[in-house]
Amino acid sequence: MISYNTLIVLLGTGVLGIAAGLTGVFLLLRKRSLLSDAVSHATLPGIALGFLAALALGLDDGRHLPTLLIGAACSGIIGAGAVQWLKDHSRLSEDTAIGVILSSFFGLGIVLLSYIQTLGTGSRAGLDSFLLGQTAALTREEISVTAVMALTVIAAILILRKELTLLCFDPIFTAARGLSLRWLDMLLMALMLAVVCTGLKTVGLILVIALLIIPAATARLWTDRLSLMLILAPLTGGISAASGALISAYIAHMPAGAMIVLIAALFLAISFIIAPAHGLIHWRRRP
Amino acid sequence: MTPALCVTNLCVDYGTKRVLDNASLEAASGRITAIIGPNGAGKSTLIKAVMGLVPISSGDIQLLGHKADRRSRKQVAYMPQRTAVDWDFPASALDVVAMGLYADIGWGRPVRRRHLTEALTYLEKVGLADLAKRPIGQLSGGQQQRVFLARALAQKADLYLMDEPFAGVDAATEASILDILKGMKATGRTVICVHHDLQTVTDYFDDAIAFNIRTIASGPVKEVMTPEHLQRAYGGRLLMVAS
Repeated sequence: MISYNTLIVLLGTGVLGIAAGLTGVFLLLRKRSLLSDAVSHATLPGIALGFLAALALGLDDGRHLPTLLIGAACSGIIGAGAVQWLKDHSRLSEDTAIGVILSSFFGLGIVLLSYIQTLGTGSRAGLDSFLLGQTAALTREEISVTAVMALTVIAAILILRKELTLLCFDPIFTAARGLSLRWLDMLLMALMLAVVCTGLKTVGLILVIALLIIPAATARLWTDRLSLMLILAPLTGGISAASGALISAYIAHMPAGAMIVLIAALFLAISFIIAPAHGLIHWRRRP
Repeated sequence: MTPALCVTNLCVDYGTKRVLDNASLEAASGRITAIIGPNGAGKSTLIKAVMGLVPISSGDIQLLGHKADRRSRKQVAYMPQRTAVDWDFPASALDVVAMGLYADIGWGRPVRRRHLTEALTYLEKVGLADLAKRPIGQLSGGQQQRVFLARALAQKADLYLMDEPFAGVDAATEASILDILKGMKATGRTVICVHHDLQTVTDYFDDAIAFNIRTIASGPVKEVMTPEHLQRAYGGRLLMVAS
């Protein structure tokens, strides 16, 4: 029998998986999947600085979730902006810029975390969970923040589905129709950032990208219809997130993030073999 | 009669490179006009500047008698080059045509069944109604081009700006696209196409604008398509064709 607490955790992570699956579809189609990896890694210095700020302000001995999330979002935005800036103002291509920003921000974050450990306040343990996720230790408050953020993302995507589709398929036509590419792209980045920040506590920042990419990629293998992708991706995302959280709740010291990613990857692997049209079996059978 | 498109002293720069230099031209209402010129002449840039897709350095653009802005551009349908998009996108032919209706539907509102029914009538017009549900990645180049054309038709515009509508399609498709353009003209629409194939200009178009960074010549095709104008537009590269 699943306890009430576990049930709440399952619901929270499930909704997060659904939001990540939906956002991931548009990131994949806009070819921005990897940028989310840079952004998620870039949140680490922000989390550490948020912790120091909260500590200085005397909030909850540093582990004050809103402050940590605001820090994460700010440094995530700076990371994304830095990738864009490097791409526009140097001869570096986007993948190089992503590699540079991802590793340097993450490095800075680790240095800051180590510094926090030397402070001897004994609360670094709370920050470690941001790296790999720790669903079992989620508080009621954290779960409600997760659910509200995820539901907001889901609602935004359902309302703006048409516009996001246009942006991903034909940006030139989108601009010619009088829509602002800059605003639409920023909106997509904002949705991605919301998923990343929401997923920090559950999946952890190292692996949250998987929840964005893998369900969307799985859905793409199954269908050539966007409407179906927008059902399959959140479905596999939600199931992976909830079942991964469930398994990690029953096995001691099993990081939820890693479990969630493995289940999502399992869905992808199965799809890779049996999916119609794009699957291995079908592909082999083709004349 | 006011020209459908009137460009005066238009300059566009990409960084330090001037790609349009004091370009001035007019395209008459209710006619099919070709913009011709060599690669790098700025033909695509010209249409993009008209649609507000690239920033202009100076000059004036009038669309259907009004200054080009968000409002007047609503009367204009733009058809990008087919190669401008990745056709391996999860959408059916009908989905793409429905995109032409998005502005009508209203931003933030869902596509309903009646919109898809309307989109289907435009696919019928380009002869692809039976392929409505087919994923666009499985269509041939010519069929993709006609899907783009149907999407442009769905915009119900007065002025159509098309970037190479005849590029990379077979002869049959070329003929059917031409039929559609003529049908549009018959209902009083204005069509302006960037065009590459000099052999067909006189047969397909009413007017032509020979263009290379600025306008070399413009008017009825017979007057524009002279060896002298083409020589000036294309430089030495056209010697063989002209002789």
